[in-house]
Amino acid sequence: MCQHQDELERLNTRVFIVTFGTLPAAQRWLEESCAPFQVILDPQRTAYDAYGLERSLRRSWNLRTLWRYVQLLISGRRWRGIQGDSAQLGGDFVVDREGFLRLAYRSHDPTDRPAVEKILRLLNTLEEKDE
Amino acid sequence: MLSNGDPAPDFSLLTVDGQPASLRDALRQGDHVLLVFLRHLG
Repeated sequence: MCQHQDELERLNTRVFIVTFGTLPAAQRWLEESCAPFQVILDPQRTAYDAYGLERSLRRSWNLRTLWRYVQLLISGRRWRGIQGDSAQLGGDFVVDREGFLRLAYRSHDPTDRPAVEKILRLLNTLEEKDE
Repeated sequence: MLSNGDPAPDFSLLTVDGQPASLRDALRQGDHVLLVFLRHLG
C-alpha cells in the first residue's frame, strides 16, 4: 500500500492505519514501513470491534503465518516480538465520501489481505462515479 | 455483521502524534477513506 501513496492521493483517498500495538511499536512500524500515512492507536480495540474484526489464536498462528515469519526473518527482518493481542485479526475497509462501506474485508488470517489493485480499482470507480 | 453499503461506524481515537482522529472528520474533508487494521504481521 505504501508504494501507492501518489495514486491514493490522486484518488482523493485518506489512509488510516489502525493498530492495537503500543505507541513505541507503532512509531517503529511507521519509521520502517509506511511513513506518509497516519497511524491511529486503538489499544482498547474499540474500532476493531466496531468493524467486526475477530480474534482467533488458531487462525492467527496457522502454518501460513508461521511460514511468512520465517520468510521475513530470512530476508533480514529483525524479530521484535509481538505487541498486544496476537490473536487479533485485521482487515481492510473502504469508506466512500458519503460515509458508506464499499469494501469490507476481514482477514481470515494475518497473511490474508485484499489485493492492492482491487482496492485501487474500487477507488477509481468511486471517483468516476462522483465526476 | 457490517457489509458493503452499510454506514461505516465512526471512531474517535488518537494518532501516534497524539492528535485526535475520527472517521467523521476525515469524511468532512470530502475524501474517501481507506482503513487498514493491522494484524501482528503488520
